[in-house]
Amino acid sequence: MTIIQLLVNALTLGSIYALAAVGLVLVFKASDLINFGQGSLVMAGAYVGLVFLLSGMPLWAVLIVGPVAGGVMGYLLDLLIFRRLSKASAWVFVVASLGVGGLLHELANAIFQSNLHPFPPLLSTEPQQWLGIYFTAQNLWVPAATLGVVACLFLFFEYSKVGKAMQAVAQNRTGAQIVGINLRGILALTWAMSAGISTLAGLLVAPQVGISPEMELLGVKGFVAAALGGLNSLSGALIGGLLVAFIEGLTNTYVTTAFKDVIVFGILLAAMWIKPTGLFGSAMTKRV
Amino acid sequence: MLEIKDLYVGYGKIVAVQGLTISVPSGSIVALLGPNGAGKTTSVRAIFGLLASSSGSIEFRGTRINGLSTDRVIKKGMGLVPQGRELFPGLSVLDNLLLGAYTVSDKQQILGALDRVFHYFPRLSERRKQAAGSLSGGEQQMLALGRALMASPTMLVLDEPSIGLGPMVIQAVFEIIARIAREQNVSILMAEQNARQALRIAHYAYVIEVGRQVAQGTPEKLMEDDAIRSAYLGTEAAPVST
Amino acid sequence: MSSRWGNKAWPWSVALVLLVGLILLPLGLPQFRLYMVTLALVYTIVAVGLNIVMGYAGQISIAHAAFMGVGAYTTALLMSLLHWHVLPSLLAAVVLVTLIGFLVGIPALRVRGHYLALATFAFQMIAETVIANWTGLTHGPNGVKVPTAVLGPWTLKELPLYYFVLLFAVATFLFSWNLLRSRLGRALIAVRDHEVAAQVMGVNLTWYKMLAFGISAAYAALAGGLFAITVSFLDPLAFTFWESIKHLIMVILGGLGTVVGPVIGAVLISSAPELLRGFREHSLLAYYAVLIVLLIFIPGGLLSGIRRLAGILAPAWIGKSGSAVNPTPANRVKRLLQGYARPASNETLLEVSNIAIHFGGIAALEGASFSVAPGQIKGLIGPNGAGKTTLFNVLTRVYQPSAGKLLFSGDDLLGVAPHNIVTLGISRTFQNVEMFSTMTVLENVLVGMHHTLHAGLLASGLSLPSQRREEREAMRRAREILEFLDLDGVAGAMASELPLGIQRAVALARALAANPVLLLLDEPASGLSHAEAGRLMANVRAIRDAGITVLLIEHDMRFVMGLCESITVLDRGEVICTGTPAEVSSNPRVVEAYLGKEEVSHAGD
Repeated sequence: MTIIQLLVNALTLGSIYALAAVGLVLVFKASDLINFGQGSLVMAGAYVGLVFLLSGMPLWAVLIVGPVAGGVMGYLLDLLIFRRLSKASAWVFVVASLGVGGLLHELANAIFQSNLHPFPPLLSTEPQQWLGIYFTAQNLWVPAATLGVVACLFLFFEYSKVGKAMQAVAQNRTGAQIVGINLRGILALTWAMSAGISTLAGLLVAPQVGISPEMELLGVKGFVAAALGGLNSLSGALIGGLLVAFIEGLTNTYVTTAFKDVIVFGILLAAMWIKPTGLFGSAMTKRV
Repeated sequence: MLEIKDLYVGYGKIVAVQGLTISVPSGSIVALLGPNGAGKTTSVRAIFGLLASSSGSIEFRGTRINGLSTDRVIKKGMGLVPQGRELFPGLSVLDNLLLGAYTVSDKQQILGALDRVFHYFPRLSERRKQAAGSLSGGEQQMLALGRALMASPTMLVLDEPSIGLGPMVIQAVFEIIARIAREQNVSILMAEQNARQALRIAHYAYVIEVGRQVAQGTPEKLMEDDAIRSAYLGTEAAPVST
Repeated sequence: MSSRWGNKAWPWSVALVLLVGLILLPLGLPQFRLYMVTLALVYTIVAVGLNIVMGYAGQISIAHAAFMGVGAYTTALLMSLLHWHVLPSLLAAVVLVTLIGFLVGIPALRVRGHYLALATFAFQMIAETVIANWTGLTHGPNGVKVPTAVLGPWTLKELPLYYFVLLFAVATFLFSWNLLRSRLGRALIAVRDHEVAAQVMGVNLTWYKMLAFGISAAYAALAGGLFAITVSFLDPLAFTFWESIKHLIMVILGGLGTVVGPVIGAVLISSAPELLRGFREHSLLAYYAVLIVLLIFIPGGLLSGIRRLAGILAPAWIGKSGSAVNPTPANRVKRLLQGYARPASNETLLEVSNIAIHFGGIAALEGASFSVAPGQIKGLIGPNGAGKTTLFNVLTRVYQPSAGKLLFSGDDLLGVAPHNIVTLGISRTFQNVEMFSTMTVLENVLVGMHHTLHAGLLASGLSLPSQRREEREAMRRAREILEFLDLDGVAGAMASELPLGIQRAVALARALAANPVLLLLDEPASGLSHAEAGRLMANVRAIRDAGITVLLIEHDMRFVMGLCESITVLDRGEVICTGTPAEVSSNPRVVEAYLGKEEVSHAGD
């Protein structure tokens, strides 16, 4: 299999990892916290979309309403849980986010059991061929949608008042308070956006793998993508996502499938040994 | 304009401020003096709703502002130039300034404020696209001042504006503060360690130490009292033959 | 963060009662419950170990299920494939996993918190995938049957197994209890609270972080091996990521940073399935829900919640904020500090030559040169941003200069590791005090003494008589120093809760405890009242009279001029003048740079 084919194959999954990573980065940038339940957010979001689908909503509408509903879920999580932990130590947040992840996992199990629900793709999965490379319309639509989302995010941060306010909160909370930015509102919005994007990621990957509580693992790969790209870099998340998917594909082809996770997480480990801030992230130096 | 009566701020068992009573009449410059750790910053933060537990009354233009959230206090017309500047280092000078007007919705007002800020701080205009983190100490202080002015406040509170600045810059900054107070009719409350500089532009001053008010008066009166002068104001006495 | 159980000694009677209870407990318990209790004990070992790396060293680990798993499988396979006896199998498991723990902990040396969490997370995923898929060795999901262990005349099942596990649980608990009350424990907390300050006090960060990781991995491995012989059938599901989370929950729920907390957490969490049995198939759901609720309402962990309920409050500090100057008799001070200072030669003590350092293109220091003679009180002044604190940081090796030489009593400082500077005789205070915020005043001072104490891992863990003697002596010296600075009244108070003036005095005490020849003071008078500054001046003179050389940075001109015999002036990274106070204050360059235009002292308009 040629490198180009591998790259093309990696496009879809890479976009998913990238979106999951973006969800992580958003929260990290705004509040300096890593949401260890990120994988579960992706999974829960997918179930939210599933509910809409099963109620008869057309697919294209699900892809729009789903992320919005996912955003509401994120907002609720912040309102009920994370906001109340803002004064607690960082470890408490780690455990809380893990706890939320577990809670979502068990909720999914309880409501939907651990069956695999199929999810229809938006575009055709007929393999096409062009210059010897195989791809499907799905292969192209998912990365395109991802790029679109990231582009919107970029525009949002650069040109909107709220976007700038979010950047301000990420760079200096005290300063943000002083100019009258409502910290709670911004943090709630951050969580909503993170959850919404995670939901989209879940819905975009659902056609390929089906919806089940085990989807978390995909979101978890988002960690690797974010870590590779740099926890506070959105563009890093994109590239990280693609890289992870690409390496997974490589491993699948040339090594056995079972150990592909080992390789992927091995990369994460190596990244933490060698360059923890990732390829594009910035180190946070502290002057005495 | 600003009336503080009997302010009490405690952190758990530690009493940071006790019985503070300050008045800032409209159009005046009032200094709050005292060494580091005396409670000046604590008092300032209490005014702006940045602290949880305070009691006593804080009134701005007759309305009680205790316990109001920071953005409400700002909307009432107060601006804060905090200790340590607290700028947004990754954003440009212009962005920092525009964020200062976050609570303002009238675009014309914002543009007017921006013009005024650039008028007082032409250097900021030159560097408007530069990232705030790359400015020098003095420029950052100016940016912090400018940012506070963007919401067209009727009262400005400054917390230790001289920290981290060289003597020449400090003088320039204080001169600008005095000018702004005069020309824009902005009342000023200034918490400062550098008593000397603060008293040159202040109309009235309060001195606190270890959370308690220990003296107050016009600059002349405070300077005349030898005991007060040497104990609280002489910390930067120039040893040069005067 | 919840503080440890005060400074009161754990009432031995209570401990004894608990121990007897634990010994008598299993008699009469049905086998199933005995099994659960045994497992709970196993988990306490993991939790206590995890607490060492998380609560004390402040490093997070999501890999402990993996460590436990590797320990379990190693033990099981050694016993079933190679027919080893249970004890060497356990030992081998511990050694192997400890080594792995060191490796996995390497990122901890360079970065904190999140990145380390990710690294351990990665290892966890790798380990569980390998365990589940290396079917040749581990039989994957089919699991491994663990042969019943035999120890002498006892078959380790049911009651004998319980006592075997109990033995290890109590031993490991006591070891960590002793460890954490020793100088090693203080060093770990110092690393967690403030790495740079810890380093300056002589704590080798690398060594301590690795130590914490290694110990906690060892504990997890031991627990894994014991788990294996208890459950007698291993399958990969017992060591997944979710199990790691359980371990985290045990520690945090029970009370991070306390020794007893994790035990409570371990017992609770391992009995959770039983406790939540009422919820049947939704028991896990209830489990997570309860967890989140507990975290929201008692973030300090159950132990702190219990303490709050019992009304045990943190000791209020009783101290004066410094009224009249209270000089300690001169000869007593001399005696106090004389034992500490090393004799200095008559040559130059510190020689700084042409030091240069750049930050992002800007020269913070350029060609900085000056010297300090033994027995001097030397001042370093200059406008803000002149590079004074940067120079101190270069002296204590926090920063590496790009050029220049540093000689201390003739020795080149530039090759010395930061944590060894204090052993050469240089100690310092910081501009921002930098107390170890979760330790008491006395403990802060004891950390200052770190490099003069020598008890090692075994001596501390086993609380050997030599270690106990050393600790008693250290406490005595620490109290003496606190007395000298009038701080004996606040010895038991949390350092960070005290007013600034007192904290500065504690910082000075801490720096003195390090037995320095040269004392670096960074803005010691900043924020002090007039009276406090006067006392500080007297103290600094007393310190100098006892033979310690002092180099200080200050802005308070009266303080500097009144105290220092020689002053060096820095401006924008360069030395612009060195001389006596009179010379410096009349030097026009200095006047211009530092004091600004000559000010006519008239009142404001």
